[in-house]
Amino acid sequence: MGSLEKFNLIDEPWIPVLKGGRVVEVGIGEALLRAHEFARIETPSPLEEAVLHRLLLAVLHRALSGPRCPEDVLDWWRKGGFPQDPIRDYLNRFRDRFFLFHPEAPFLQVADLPEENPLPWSKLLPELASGNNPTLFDHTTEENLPKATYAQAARALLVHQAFAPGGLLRRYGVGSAKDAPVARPALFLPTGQNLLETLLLNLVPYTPEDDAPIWEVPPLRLGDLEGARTKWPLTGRTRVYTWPARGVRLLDEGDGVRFMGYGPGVEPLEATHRDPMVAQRLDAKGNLLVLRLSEERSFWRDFSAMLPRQGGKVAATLEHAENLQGELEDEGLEGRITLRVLGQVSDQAKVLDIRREVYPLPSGLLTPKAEENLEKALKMAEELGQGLKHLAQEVAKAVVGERDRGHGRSPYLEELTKLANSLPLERLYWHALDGAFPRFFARVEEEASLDLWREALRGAALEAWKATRRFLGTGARHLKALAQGEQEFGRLLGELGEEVRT
Amino acid sequence: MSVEEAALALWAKSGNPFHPLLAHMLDTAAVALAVLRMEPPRTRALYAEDWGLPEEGALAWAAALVGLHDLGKASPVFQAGWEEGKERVQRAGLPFGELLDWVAHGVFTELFLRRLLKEKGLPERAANDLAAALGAHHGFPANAEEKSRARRHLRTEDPLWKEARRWLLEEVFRRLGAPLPPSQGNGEARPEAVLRVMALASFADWVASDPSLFPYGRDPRRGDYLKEALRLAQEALNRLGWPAFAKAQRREFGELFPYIPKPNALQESVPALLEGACTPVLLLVEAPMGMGKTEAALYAHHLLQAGLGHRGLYVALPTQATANGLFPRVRGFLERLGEGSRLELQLQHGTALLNPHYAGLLERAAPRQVGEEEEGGAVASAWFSARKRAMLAPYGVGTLDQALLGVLRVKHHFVRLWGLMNRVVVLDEVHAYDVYTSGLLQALLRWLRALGSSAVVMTATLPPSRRRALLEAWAGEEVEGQDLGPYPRVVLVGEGVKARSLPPAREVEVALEVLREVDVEPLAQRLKGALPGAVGAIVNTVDRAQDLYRALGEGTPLTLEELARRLGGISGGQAWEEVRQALPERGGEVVGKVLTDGTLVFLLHARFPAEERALRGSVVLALFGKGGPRPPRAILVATQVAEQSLDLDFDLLYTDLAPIDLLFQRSGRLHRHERPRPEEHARPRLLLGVPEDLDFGKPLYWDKVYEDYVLLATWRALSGRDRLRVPGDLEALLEEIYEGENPESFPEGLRERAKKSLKALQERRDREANTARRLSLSELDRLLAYWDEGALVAQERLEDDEEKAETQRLLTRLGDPSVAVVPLFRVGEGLFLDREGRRRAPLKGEVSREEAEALFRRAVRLSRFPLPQELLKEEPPPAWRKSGLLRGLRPLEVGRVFRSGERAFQVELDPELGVVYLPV
Repeated sequence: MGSLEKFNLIDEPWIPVLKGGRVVEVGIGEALLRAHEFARIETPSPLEEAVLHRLLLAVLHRALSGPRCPEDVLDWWRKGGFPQDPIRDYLNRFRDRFFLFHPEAPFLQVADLPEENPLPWSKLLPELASGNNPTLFDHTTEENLPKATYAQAARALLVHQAFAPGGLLRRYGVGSAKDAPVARPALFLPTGQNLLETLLLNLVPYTPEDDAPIWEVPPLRLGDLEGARTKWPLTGRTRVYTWPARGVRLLDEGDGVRFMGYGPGVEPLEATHRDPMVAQRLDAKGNLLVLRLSEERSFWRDFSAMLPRQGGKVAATLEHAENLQGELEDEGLEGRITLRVLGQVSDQAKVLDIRREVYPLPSGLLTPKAEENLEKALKMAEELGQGLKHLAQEVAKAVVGERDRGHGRSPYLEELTKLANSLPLERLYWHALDGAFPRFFARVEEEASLDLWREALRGAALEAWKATRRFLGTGARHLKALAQGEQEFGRLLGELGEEVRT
Repeated sequence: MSVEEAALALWAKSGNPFHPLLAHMLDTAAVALAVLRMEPPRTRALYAEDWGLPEEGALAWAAALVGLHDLGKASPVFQAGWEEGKERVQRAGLPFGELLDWVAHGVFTELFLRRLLKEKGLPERAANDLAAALGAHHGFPANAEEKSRARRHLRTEDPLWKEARRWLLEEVFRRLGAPLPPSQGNGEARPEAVLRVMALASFADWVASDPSLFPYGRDPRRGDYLKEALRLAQEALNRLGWPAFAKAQRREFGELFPYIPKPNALQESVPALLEGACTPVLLLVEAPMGMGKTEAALYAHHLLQAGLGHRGLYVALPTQATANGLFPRVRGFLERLGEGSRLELQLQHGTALLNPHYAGLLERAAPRQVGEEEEGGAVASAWFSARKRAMLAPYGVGTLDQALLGVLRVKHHFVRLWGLMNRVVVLDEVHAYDVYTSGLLQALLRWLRALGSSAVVMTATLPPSRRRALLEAWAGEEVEGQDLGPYPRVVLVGEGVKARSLPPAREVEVALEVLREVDVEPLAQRLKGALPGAVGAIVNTVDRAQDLYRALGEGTPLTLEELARRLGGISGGQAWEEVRQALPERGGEVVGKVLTDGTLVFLLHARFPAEERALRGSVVLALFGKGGPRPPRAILVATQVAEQSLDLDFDLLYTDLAPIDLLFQRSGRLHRHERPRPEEHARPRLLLGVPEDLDFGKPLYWDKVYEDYVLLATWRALSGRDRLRVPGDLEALLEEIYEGENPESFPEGLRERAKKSLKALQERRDREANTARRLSLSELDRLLAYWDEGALVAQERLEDDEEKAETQRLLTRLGDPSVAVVPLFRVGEGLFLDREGRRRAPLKGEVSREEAEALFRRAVRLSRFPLPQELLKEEPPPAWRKSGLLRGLRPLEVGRVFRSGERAFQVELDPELGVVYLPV
């Protein structure tokens, strides 16, 4: 199997972009040199979206040795493109390091990783998890493993190196592996009208010294990685963007990939590093605190954790995008920006959920008025949510009937909790709000936005309650429980109404 | 209404009469001009070079920019802040739309200047940086959120506002006759150029905003307004005691240091090396204590100032105590240097108020107030004592922390850097700094060089890698392959690198005897067996010092009075005379104990309340130091506090195993002075305690104080030796231990441990070095960055007060936080400073200056877990919060119990032992 040098990521098509309403795949070179022609990177996977941007940004930072300051970015914005020659020269210089298959230096892989004991390629994707991970999204199993195209495999490789959660490894002298660089945090990706703008919005000023992406350092060998021998401080913009979290070697089957050699990667050493896409702040001792996504709740419910007034954490990309937007508006140029929050929710080694939330970024996002409205809105939503949770418990109680509670984890209480949790009330409510929040957020500065939000809350609660009625059915006990619940539900909506008047 | 009338209606300072905006802008520009005109020519040349303008043009340009710092006040948000003013502005034709939320005027300054400076023809990069710098005149650059709020205002604003601002800007330029600098390179302004304008704006604004110096209501329409403002500015600076630069004539070493009969080799090498220097230099002095480094550095400052025109001197020391110690010497030097002229000396650190020499200067300055001429001599005028302004004074002594705050983006950090500009900055005891602080120091050196300052770095010998890092921070490039000659030496980095080796001042060959039994009981017997003599024991932890002191035997507490009685007739030594002066007030205080055989035993460590520690320090210095009465039988048990600075001389010294450089520091206290000694101690002998099993962990806890690897490597390098040449052997040992890090060379049984501990050490070092580089302004062009780690520091908006816990932690990143407490005794219902309940602790209401100082003198810094964690959660008493001196302190009731897991301890204050932790 395998051939010598194959599938160069600079030229071969593998990055899905939207062009004229159609998805086409392009290589790194085309993506950068013709970025203005593409609306955006278009992929169903939020993680792919994040890593593909990070890869392109890493190439840009190195090829352009910058931007040194925001004015460099503005120049490129005004000119409508990146300087082409430095990018071409740079890609030519490191062309040999971008082959997906290569006898000495396969891209972001380890050339001499043995083929024995291979893993299915789908292990690379958290959403195509197999083995002891819960199969959340897909039921692909090892028996009917489909072959990945080279493009698919390349994207999966990038995703894995950036997002693999730490956990048991037990290979080549390494018992357990550490988290990949962005396995936990929420990533903030402001996006513009086309790929060029998006890249510029995320091209946060950069100092090229003391940093090198994976293709600028000598290729790693198994001997470097065995027993976690190689440790790098987790710092340096492009080093982190192209971090080899695991040793991987994709095994070429001539027309695709099914298996890979797998082992330890470079172990990260804790370091003071600001990842531009991650919202961080400094604690009193000079350590960085990171904003993560949480399992139970959509990101928007924690939105206020980003607000400066609350000692919040802000991503440099967001700050950079806001500065650019301001400057462009001063010049009469329009910079319409959307904010995408990407990432995965994980519990130790388990990936629980993959997220992509999209918000319009109104200019002046963080005005006090907007903050105040946002805080109010979030509070209202949480309060009603709490009310519904309580309601679900009450309904469950009425269905099961009052009984002696017993002590501790009594079977009775467990039954109650189980029933309450199975009711669609809370879940549907939040689900509906996930859709409504961006609409509210687009108008968050306006006085009317809170009324809009109240309507959304009311609608979401009503839908959820209707679904709960249907769910419970029409048994006598159920009807009685629902009748009692109806009163409580009316009270909850009433409270919402009162707030409208105040 | 015309644009001009509208612009003239804008106010800057409310009141009756109010002060018009244009007037304040011109006042501030005038202060800037006056300041620059009083600077040495070299400072002005730096401004000229910054902008590629002839000197007069450059000053006018800089002053105009400074004047524009308040252009943001020409905004509806600011103008609406004072009703009367608002109405006048409205009448003049400037409409106020719907008023949105408040935004600081500095933010508007930035936005306005971004556009207007570009429209005026300044390249975009320079314009944007200057705009952000001037917008930051209240301490921090605006963040994106503030700017987007401000932009929302601008969208709905009537266009006349912009016209008015443009008119103001043009008017400021016209009045000052300021040219536009020619476009340079890619249109960037160099960071140091931006900083020079940025800091001057804050400073000039402080002066121009004082209504007693710049009365309100002067009419800016008058043709001679600027001339008048310049006169006021000059007067203001005179009244504030801001000194004009006076070029010093080159003086001979002997004139400035009459107490040194003949300059030694070091003091002769420095002038020789500096001969002909025509650019700022880094002078690295590697030499042991006692070689007259301080005088050499002060003389280097004099020569550099005379040759290059540096504006002054800042001497940075590691601790407040060392800064206090050096203050009188620097003052003496300046008085001799400045005969007839006035040289201000500023003591700059958090607790400077407690230094009696400094307090004296303040008292002398205070009654005269501003306006009266001093008759020469060093006067630290009160004006400079306000913390922010302090680094501006041309001559200062203080802690390194104060200087390092310049490269951390705390409030007004740039003013600190400006203050150090074109100065000679002396950094002392540089070997004592950890990796993180050394990283900050390198950033500081980069800035000093960029700002046209010279630096004198003084240190005991350094491992080669650290020396290289310092030299390269200055040179900005690799300094490789230089043969600098053996230690001690002086290295000069100017245009090229020059080095000179010095003959060692005094070399002592010390017999080394290793004790493998380190328990305090046998150790105490051993020390007592070495009497008569003046015996020292330096141990690694306070607990151990207390244990050893106890193990030396029951004795009678020794009060100061009793001590003076025992040493009765003996007089002599300045230190001893100073101690005796404290007798009337503090005679009853315990300073040690007397054993039955008459042996005096003393204990010195950092866990005594400040005033007790200071008294004990003075006693110890008098008895074991130069000149004082030397008791025939005396033992001092001390921790690291006796390792630095204190000029002690022991007949015999015991020390716990410590890193090699510290062992040499400690050994330097052995037979330090020429004097007769007991026969048994005719030759210097060092007892070195090394635990038999080489276990430095619990119960010794040496591994909490020092790196396990360094202890192991030091032991490996020393084992088998029976003598040490101090300091001759140090350099080779340092290199072996710190650079030849090869665990394979350890004996089999230790190899694995050495490997592991070395790895941990290297990782920690790398991490700390990286953190220092990221958090500080290690690269000049990150001065205004909003995207890096330094911007996260700025985002926290920390006060530039190194006593604040947050700022302190950023400065030190000490793993174990500590808390400064005032131990209080409960007597009846009340809390008292003394056990007997005579001095009640002021906790409520107003605290007078005397009370505050009394409390502060009782402070002691504690770090035992979980004491700081718990106490820092508690607010200081209301009365303390208002006092700058007390804000960082916490009261701690003696006897209070702290728990951590299963274990609990009680905090006691023992008159002999200091703070003790008793298990309960």
